[in-house]
Amino acid sequence: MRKGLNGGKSRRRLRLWRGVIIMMACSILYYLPWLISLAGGVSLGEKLDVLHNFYGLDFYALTFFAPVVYAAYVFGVREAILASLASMLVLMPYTLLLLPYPEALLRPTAFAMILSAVGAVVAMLQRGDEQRRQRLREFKCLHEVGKVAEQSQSIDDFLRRVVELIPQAMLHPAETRARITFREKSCQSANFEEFPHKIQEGLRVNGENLGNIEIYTAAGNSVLRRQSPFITALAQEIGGTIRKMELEQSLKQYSEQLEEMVKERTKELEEAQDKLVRSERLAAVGELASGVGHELRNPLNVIKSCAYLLNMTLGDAADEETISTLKLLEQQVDISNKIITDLLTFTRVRPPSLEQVDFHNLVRESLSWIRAPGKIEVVTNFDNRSPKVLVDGEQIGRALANIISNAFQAMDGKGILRVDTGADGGYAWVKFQDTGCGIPEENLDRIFEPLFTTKRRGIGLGLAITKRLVEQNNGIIEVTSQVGKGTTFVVKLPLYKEEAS
Amino acid sequence: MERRADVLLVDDNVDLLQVISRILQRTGHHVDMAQDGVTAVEKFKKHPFDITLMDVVMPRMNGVEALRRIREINPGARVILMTAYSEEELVRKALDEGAYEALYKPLDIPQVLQLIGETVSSPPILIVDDDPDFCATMARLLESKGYRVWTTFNGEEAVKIAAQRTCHIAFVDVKLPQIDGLQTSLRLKEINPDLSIFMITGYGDEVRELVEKALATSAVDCLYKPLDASVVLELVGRTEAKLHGKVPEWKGKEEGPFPPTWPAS
Repeated sequence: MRKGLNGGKSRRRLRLWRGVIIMMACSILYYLPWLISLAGGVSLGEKLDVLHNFYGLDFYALTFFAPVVYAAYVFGVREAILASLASMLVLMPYTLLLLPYPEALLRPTAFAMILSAVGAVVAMLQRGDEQRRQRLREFKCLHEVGKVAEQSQSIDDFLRRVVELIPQAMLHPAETRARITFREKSCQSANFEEFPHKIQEGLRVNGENLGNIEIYTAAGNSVLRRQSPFITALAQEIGGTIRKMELEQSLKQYSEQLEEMVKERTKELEEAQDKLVRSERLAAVGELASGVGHELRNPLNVIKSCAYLLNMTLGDAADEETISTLKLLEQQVDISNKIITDLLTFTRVRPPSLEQVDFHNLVRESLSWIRAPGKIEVVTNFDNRSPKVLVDGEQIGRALANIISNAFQAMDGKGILRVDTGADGGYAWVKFQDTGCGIPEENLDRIFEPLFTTKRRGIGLGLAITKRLVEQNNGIIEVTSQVGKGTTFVVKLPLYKEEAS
Repeated sequence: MERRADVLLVDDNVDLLQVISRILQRTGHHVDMAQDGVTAVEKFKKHPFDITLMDVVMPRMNGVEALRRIREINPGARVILMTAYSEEELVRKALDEGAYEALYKPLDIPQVLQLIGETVSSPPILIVDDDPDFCATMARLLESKGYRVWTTFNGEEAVKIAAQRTCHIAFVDVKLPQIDGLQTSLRLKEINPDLSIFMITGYGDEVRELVEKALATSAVDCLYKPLDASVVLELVGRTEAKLHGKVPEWKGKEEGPFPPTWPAS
């Protein structure tokens, strides 16, 4: 993990050494004529020494441009000046010791000044170049961030990608680490460690400070100042992108919600319309039914009265056949009347007036309304507790009586009707289990439909009324059946609140 | 004790009128018929029927309106409405107006016969007062306890009614048009010596003489207006019990203080 930091230091040291070696090479070259003279090659030394003052120019000193320019190029202005001073120090002994003119002392000083100036210019050029490259990288990085923003699926994904891009914006990516903290969650670039040099910027999203961008570098980067325009721009870019993504996300959520709502509403509307159509049809049927009912009842009234009158008139003179015929007549009138009643009841169900009712009394009452015909046995098995239910007693009584009367009819004069009660889950329930003919499975779903009937008598409103009455009282009605074995109806009614708790 | 009843049959269905009237005549009752409410009211004005059997939906005047008019003529009139079930609102109004019963078509003939039988076999309580409101209030009160009530606005009519029907109890206003309360009670007593007559008056001393005479000759007691409902019911109940040797069935809870407070004479 320390590789980056070490890399930065070692490179600097390497450059330093290079500079020193260049400097030493220049120094050796400078003193080479003198060294050769010392070594005995006086003639060669004197020949070479000519270049020290060739028409007033010291050609050897010119080589010192090399270390100065190198320092300026690699390190900067300060180092270039240092290199110039070092060059001056190297030139000094030659001037003092080997040249006969004291005014020559000025030569290395002037030379050093020239060198410094050259170094500074080179360093500045170099610096400008570095900055340019740095800016280029920064722009590239910002551009990449923009591209990544488009590709990212989520904010987390985006931040993970961006944090890897940031080091690329620096001149030395290997020595740079980045960390983005957003809403308590942080993303770090690969091999993250906190290097000594750091710049940071707050991450503002929609004017709210929600996080931090930190850039760490191993070596102090002259280009990276504490308030770098790059990191500011980066923070703005990231903040803007996060805002955009958040907006997009919420927009997507909203649109999904909206879609869901629209779907729901549409369904509700369709149901409501269905219901409306149905209720309108029912209302129309009701209107018709009450008119027809009234008109039919009057003739029925006359017919029934006629039967009574005939019966009375004939008195003892009537034979068995006449009596039974008259009875049949009366029975048929009653059946017709029942149909009218059903029709009227079905189309004109008043809203229930809910009150606290003793459940078992209700069941018992309903049972007492209808006499079990023939050899039908009614077996009751009531729960020990007698729950109170919150219903319209009259309506539920009618509903239960309907079920009981249906059960009796299904058993055709012989069988057992079991009546069980109980309570659980906020409901009191009563189960009517008959041993009648049962209902074929294909009809089971339809028995509650109005006008569906399998009986020869009746027009199929009984169970439709029953279901409506039960449901209107917040109850549930269920049916199971097996052909030949019998049918079971379960009616569940809401318990009175005290009981429910 | 099956007795002949005067029945008024009202329905716009002529066939029904025929059949029912035949049945009622065979059962021994006297039947008159009307095909609409207006005719029914006219007929009722001329003849006091024991019971009126009336359809609700009729031309010219519906059953409920006719009922109201008939009850104005005689606040104690017993009217049974026949309904085809589809006019619940009207029926509810009719029951509020004082209909005796609402029967649903097709009629249960034995039930009708039983109702008529019950009506004629229960002797009416006679109320003779020229104040129709008082008559109506008394009728409502006594009817609510299951008594049959016959109200007349003058003495002549009261005497006529008493001659046709057995009455056990009569409330007679002291001041009456034509023949006064004293005369009326004397003549009623003549017709039926067992009749318990209660004089009623809204005056105090002015009629003292009349009241004292009545009490001496025919009346059991004298009540002063405004009457206390519980007192009236208590009196009627006691008298009925004395007659039948049993306490009559009370349909409602007693209202007011008991024992009742008597007005100081």
